[in-house]
Amino acid sequence: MSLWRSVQMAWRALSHNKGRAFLTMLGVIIGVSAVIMMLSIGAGTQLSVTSRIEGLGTNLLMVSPSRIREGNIATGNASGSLTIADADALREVAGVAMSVPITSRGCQLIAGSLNTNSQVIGTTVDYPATLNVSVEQGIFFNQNEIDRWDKVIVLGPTVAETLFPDGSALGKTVQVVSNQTKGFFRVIGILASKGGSGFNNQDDQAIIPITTAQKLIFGSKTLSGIDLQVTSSDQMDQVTTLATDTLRRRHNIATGKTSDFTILNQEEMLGTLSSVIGTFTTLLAGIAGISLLVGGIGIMNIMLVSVSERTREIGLRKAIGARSSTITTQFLVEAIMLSVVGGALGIVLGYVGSTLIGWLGGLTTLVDTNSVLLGFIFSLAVGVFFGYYPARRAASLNPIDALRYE
Amino acid sequence: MSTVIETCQLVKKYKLGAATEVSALRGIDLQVEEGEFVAIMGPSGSGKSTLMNIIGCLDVPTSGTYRLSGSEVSRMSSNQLADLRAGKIGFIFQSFNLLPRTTALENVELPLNYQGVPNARKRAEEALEWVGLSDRLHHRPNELSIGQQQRVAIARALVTHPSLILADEPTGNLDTRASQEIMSLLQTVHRQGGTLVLITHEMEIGQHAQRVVRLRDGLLVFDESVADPLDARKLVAAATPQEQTHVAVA
Ligand SMILES: Nc1ncnc2c1ncn2[C@@H]1O[C@H](COP(=O)(O)OP(=O)(O)OP(=O)(O)O)[C@@H](O)[C@H]1O
Ligand SMILES: [Mg+2]
Repeated sequence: MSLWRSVQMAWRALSHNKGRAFLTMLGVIIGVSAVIMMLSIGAGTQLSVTSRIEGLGTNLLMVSPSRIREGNIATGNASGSLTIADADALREVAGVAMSVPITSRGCQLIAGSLNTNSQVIGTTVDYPATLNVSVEQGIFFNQNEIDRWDKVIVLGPTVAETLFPDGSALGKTVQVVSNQTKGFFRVIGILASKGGSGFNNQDDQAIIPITTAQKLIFGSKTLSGIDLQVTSSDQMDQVTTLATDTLRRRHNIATGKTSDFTILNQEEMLGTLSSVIGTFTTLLAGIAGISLLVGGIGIMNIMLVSVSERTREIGLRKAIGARSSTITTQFLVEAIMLSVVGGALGIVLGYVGSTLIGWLGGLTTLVDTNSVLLGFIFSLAVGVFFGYYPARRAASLNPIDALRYE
Repeated sequence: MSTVIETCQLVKKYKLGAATEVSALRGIDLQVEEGEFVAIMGPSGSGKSTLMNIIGCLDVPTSGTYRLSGSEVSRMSSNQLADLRAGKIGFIFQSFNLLPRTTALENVELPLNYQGVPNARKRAEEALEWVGLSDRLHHRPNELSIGQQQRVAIARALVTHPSLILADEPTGNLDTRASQEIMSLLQTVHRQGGTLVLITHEMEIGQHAQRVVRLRDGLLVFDESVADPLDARKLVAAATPQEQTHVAVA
């Protein structure tokens, strides 16, 4: 009995009861499409995070505060460990081209009747060069404005667009409201777009002088981090070591104790984020996979019903010479057909679904060939796995008992 | 002439629950030669179907031996038995002979497919033509009369050129005229050299065979050749003109 014949027969048996076949497939359709959508969100996030970190600029080292741990108990203040003086000291380290202190908060920005919640960053004049951002309209603030604690602000393109839809932002006044206080700022520049999306969007931020931020708006002297630009890429390791020594000395950290800061380069940042996103994606896809499993159980259930409904048919087939293996193949092909057709529909639905998520949800999604392949192979495996038992059950029927079955 | 069926002290017991047992066959010795047409008769429950199922390799005896064309069946694997059923034996049952939702042609093709024979379609068409159904190839069972369904079953039983044709009350659900047509087909098979075993409880149907075997309570109690078998062709021919005039009047 050729496989093609078995496929034809399975098709006929299934199309006889289309409604039932579709409902049976629904479990697999939903399972596969959920897996594909989850994987596409994971892959998309990975892609956007990678490009964002790479977009930060080359030869970048990021110093961030961390809690000191003694045993398992966190002591010390996480955000208190870095200061502007640290940033100044790091600027003197050999191989450091620029050292940029950064302090940032989520704030409300108000212009007239419009407002938005964005990240407000306090920093110095070296920020654009170090972090690879450029000013499209107007100018960035200069050292004089920093020294005078001027209330000037450079808006990211998203913020400018939101607050001033007519494009007239330059020279206007924006009110910045932090959880401490508020103040009116004059818009002196608008950044060029970096094309980010989702959370931590680089276009959705506003930049003010660090002095103004610390003294007038945030009411705190601590830094969220210091970004270092290294002169050349082969000095990264060396600078990391020197910067670590400098800061440990300044913070009086005894040999053998853990530092109260961490220094990461781009690769390390990518590695850390990738592994977090990877874990997250695996978790989501795993949950989606469970629904695929439930779909498989649905297939098994219907195949068992089908075997008992068709007992006499099986008896007749055996009486006219079907081997047990032929019967097994027949029912297995039916189960596989259900799951594979369901899987194919699920792939299409998953693709459409992740495109919609990309459009409507503002997330980057990416359906790659591997996840399509995975979805397909999974649904095939579900068919084989859950179809085998009913098929064996059909094949093991005694022809006489099957023929006499009422 | 060679022996097709040879049973020796065939016993079949059915277990009903833990203690009770039913003896459907209690020691059957039966020989059927090539080219014979044997009718098995007997009251209901006497073991006719049980015997036929064993002969047809659908079931195995509790004890005793059964040789089909000289080879011992009880030692065969289930795959060998399936191949025997596909190639050597043609079955016709009383009812539920055909796969539902499957055309006459595909039903007849099925045993050839199971055997993996080439040009199955052509052979199936020929077999259906032989039983007079060349205009019904693509009808499904529910689009055929009971008599036509039985003829499709005969075509399917014959399409593999089996060495043994078994029919368990093939006319049980048919009226006299359709029964005659079926018997006429079976007699033609016999005349062309086929070996047939037929179960019936109708005296007149039994008289179409060459030899009548009678069972009672699982034992063979009577075995005689029929002196002057009825010829179904003549009976069909005798019935036909009447019907034609009937049609003409209508
Ligand atoms: N699967 C079974 N389980 C238990 N007993 C059975 C089974 N099959 C048949 N029998 C018993 O075996 C005996 C013979 O049955 P069988 O079907 O061979 O009779 P039969 O001669 O074909 O009768 P009929 O003319 O009514 O078809 C009966 O007493 C029946 O009850
Ligand atoms: Mg019977």
